Amino acid sequence: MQLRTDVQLKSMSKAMLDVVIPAIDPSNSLAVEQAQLVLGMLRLMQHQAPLQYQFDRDELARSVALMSKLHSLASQDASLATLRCQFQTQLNDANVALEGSRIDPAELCDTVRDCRYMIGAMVREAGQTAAPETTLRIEQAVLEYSKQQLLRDRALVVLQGWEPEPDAVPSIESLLASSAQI
Amino acid sequence: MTIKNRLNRPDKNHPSAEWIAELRRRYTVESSIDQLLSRKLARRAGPGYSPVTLAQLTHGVSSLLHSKIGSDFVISEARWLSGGASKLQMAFTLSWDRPEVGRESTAMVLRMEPAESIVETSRLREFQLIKAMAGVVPVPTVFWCDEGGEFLPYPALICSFATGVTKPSNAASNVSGAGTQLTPELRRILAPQFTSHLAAIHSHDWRKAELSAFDIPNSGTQCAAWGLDWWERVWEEDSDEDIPLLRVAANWLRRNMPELQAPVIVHSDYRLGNFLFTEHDAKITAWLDWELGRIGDRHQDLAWTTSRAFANLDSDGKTVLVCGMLPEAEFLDAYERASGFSVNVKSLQWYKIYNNYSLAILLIGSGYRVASNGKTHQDVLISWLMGLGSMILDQMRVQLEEEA
Repeated sequence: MQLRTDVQLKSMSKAMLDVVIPAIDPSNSLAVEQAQLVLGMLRLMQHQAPLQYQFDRDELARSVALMSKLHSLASQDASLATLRCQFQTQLNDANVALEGSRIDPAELCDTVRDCRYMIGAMVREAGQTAAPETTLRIEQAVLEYSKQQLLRDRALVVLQGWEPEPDAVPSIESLLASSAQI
Repeated sequence: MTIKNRLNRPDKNHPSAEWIAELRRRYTVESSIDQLLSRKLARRAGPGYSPVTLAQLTHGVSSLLHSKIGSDFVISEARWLSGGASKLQMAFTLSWDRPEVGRESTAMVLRMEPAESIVETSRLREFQLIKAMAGVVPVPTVFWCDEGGEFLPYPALICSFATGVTKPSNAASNVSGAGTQLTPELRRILAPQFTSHLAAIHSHDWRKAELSAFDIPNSGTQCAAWGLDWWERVWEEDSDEDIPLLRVAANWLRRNMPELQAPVIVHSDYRLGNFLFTEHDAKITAWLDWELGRIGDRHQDLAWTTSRAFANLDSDGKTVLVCGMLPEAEFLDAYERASGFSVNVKSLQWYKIYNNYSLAILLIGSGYRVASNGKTHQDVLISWLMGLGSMILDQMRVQLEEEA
């Protein structure tokens, strides 16, 4: 297939830049602003699209590692026993998804989301029912995980220009490559 | 059975009455906030935003004015205004017989909600707050409010058009106004006004004002609890994929809620980009965007204004300038002198985390929900802003680690 996403996005960006934007009435400030935003969004998609599958698999691998750690930490507190059983089930599913070589990208994405959901539920439940020391350990684990995940999240959108020091953010390509061995 | 079904998550695009009732039970918020969030969910499965024309809006304004001032008026020069991420705005000129003034042409702005907004807020609260601030700090004059969308397609208010710019004409910045660079001369003139206006807002005796749409928190931790419940509820209502860090933040915020020392009017979005100034003399002409305002803790504004998200580095490449204007220590010192209030460091830190928590929720959770459902007139801007969420979350992560 020749007409893949990359060339479609590239052609749409060009159409916006060459044809659509110059044709907009400059006094229509809402239209001018939104046309520029469309162009920026198309360029961002051109950058993100080839990396999307790899990005999600990378997060799943680290989610599984975190869930294993949380599962172990939760074993020290009887109040988390019920959730821990659900946690185990989700962890098993996540491992299967991770190991599946032919997994559909959409299912991979769904599994990541389910991991996020269960991790969030664990943190929330711990905050309400678990012993303070267990809660703090769980939260610390999530903070450590979040540091790595957010670095990737930020790197994926660095082209948007939000970062005050964009050069301090590693490229998403290098981050995904470095964690490919997990 | 798919994983998605097994986890039995609610269908947030088609919220059930039971789920809405459960959220209302779980979270305690101000009564008007409860009403507008419940209204949002009740309408969610309905249609997205349908483009409206200037002619349609002009007709709606005309209907509203007929009900308020009769038929002796002419609307002209209707045009779109950009700016802001949440509300649709139309400028127009109204020729009318203004009470206590006489015949005049008044430049006006219609500010209307879309079908669902990145920040679901009350036009009545915004109307009352701006009115309460008249004569305290520069604000537009508010005239009329269509609180329930009786005359216009969605709830709206009408206020005077304020002259000025939100950033120098030749300055570059991102779409929210973040990153705007001000010249040293401009900073020298704007910074004292910026600081003294915040002090004036917080020092104002709001008890004499008509603020019936607001609940007043008691002197304990109720103010912090209402705020936390507000945004945690919004996250439950709007988010797609969960963010465990937000759960950690909610736990921390709940364990460390500060006591309210004195309830004041809080703007809740006090920063560069939300005021207008005239370029020839750098005089602030109007404070805008009061929609998230509440009666609460002054530290919420101080923490918001000093956020790194709105800061710039000075020309030395090291000094962080609050809203691109002055160093944080100088800003807080000037605020204390102007207001007579002291700054409680622990409260300030709590609200810095709270503000990043709420900002991440509206950018990522609400932003996703409204853009994916086609609910606004500028979904592309809402989607674009979602990218800012990761940086905000990482700032919050660092703050939480510092508190650990």
